[in-house]
Amino acid sequence: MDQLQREDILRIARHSNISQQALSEVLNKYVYAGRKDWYKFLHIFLISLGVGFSVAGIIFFFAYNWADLNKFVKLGIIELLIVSSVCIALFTKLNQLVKNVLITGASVLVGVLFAVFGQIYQTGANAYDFFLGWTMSISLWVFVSAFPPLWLVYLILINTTINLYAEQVANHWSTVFLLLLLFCVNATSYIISLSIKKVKRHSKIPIWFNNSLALAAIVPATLGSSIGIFSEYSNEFLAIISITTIAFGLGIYFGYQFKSGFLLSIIPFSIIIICSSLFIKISDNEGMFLFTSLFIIVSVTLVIKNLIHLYKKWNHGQTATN
Amino acid sequence: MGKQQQIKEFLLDLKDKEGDAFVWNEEVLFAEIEQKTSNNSTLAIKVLSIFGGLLATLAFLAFLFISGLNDSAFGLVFFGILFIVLSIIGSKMYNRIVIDTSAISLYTIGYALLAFGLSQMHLEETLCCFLFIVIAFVALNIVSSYVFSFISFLIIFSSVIAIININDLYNAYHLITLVNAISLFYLFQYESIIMVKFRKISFHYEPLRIAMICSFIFMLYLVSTGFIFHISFSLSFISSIANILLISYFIYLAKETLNIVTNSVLIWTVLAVALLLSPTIYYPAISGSILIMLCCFRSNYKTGFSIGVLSLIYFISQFYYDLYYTLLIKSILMFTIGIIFLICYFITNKKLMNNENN
Repeated sequence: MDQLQREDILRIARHSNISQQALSEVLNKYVYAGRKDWYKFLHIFLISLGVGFSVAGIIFFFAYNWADLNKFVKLGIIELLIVSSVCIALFTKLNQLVKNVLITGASVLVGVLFAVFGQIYQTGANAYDFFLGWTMSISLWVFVSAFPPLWLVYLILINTTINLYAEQVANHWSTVFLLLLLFCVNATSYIISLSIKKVKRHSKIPIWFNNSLALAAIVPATLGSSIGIFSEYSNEFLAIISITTIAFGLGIYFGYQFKSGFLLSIIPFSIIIICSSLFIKISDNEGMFLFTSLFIIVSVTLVIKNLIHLYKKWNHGQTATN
Repeated sequence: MGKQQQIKEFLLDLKDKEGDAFVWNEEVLFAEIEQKTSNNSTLAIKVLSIFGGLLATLAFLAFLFISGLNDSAFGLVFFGILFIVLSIIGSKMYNRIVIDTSAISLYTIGYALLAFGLSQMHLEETLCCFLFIVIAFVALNIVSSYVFSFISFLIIFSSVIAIININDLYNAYHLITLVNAISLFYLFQYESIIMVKFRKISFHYEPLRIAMICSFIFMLYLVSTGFIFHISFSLSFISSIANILLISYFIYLAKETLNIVTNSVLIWTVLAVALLLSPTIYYPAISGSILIMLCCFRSNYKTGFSIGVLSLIYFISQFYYDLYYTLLIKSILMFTIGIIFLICYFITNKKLMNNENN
């Protein structure tokens, strides 16, 4: 028998004279976290806070820029820490999660190493090549560990590098072009991640990771298209509108294929925002704002109606979970 | 097996245990299940309803200001009341998720119109907030849709904050945070009591839970960072102590599940938690976020748990950023705490491994 869900139990409680004790037992049995869940939670909570705080402590220590500390000692300490944490991850029989957290810690320390290097040799701690170097140096660990939080750090680094490059080197890039580039990078990562999940059935790519990637792709697409609508028409605007149209079309197709309610709600919502921007660009008188308000209500309602219909079809009458 | 069949079997099992006194209203129960499954709502749909509704409200307000219709105070109040009444009647008559966006838009536009109208009539602001609280309570008594209740709870909460702010009762923020912490804990820990004994609340349990988490995080932000209003931090320790006591009580209640067998282990665990959290005594946001995480994890409430984790990360970063120490002292503090957590990890890991082997 399928697990009874919380809402079923609460519904039964609302329409019966179930005793408080019985309800409490049922909730404990079917809904609440058991001993194993708590052990897993404690594992992750303590190791993440432990490694997180230690690495943060190290970052603050080097940010303090202790003048009396010799530069070789500074670089030496960080290198020693990186080498030792990677060695522990490689050559011990620790739990896989601990090893992954250690590698993630080491990846952050690589950034500290570059920052300290920049501090000593005056190359700056926010130069784009600092982030580029950092990103490239940890690539191998990211690919080997296949640990979603580390992948997320990696993608944040790539996005930061692109942003800083646009700011410091490619000054001639327009905002729309920058957003188009970020959209392409994040959308490509999302497609790769989905393909891996499709090919390797046992791959442990969590839903939150894929959803974060989708969000990271759709936000620049929406922003870029809306900003493009309000600016002067350019080739970049044409590019972002056409690529977004194709990508959103594919995204909706993928949404149906992978039964992703997230994708099928966020893409239409993005389209609604882009269309609203277009309406207000066409005319910013009171009638258009009233029309836009009604347009949003009607279109969101239609999207929700479609989603409800789809969930019903996918779950054959059972409640959806994501 | 269909959902209805599954629930029927479950009810019969329960009847065996509970005896003949256990009865249920099969007609209403299955009608609701039937309606809810055809009305299947997920987080994505709820978020879409809320954001869609708010976006439409913004566009409507822009229309109102550009057209100059906001000049007539009477007109604003009239349409405000009309919109709120229409949204309540609509939600009551067609209890469907599909109309949530329209209902939410009408409902929030109604409040906005009413607020503008009443302020033009120079009605006292405090009275205006009380009026909003009364309207939201009336709406809650009539409608039981998820997003509708959620918005109503948020309106009640924001009105309370506004009343405190208008009347310069800044110390009351500490009291509200304290009450929020205790009620949040009660809501999660004694879910079964609320469902059985407080029938009215039971229909709004889920939206109340998420609204309570949102308001608690907002209050924690206020009494910890004091970014928005003039709050004195000298009383912030009250909420911190309450949070630490609630976390300790939580551990006490969960001792069987956590397999804490002896009293000495329990006392040591509670002491360790209190000691670790003691540096944050004037920054209740950290202990508060941990309280949210624990409550949500126990209840298997994933959305709330994710909100708790994100707020904990944010508040810890803000805490160290705001500290008036040199980077070196901050570094030593953080490194020491990191090592303590790692030691805790290895101790508990060993114990847990032993327990799992036994």
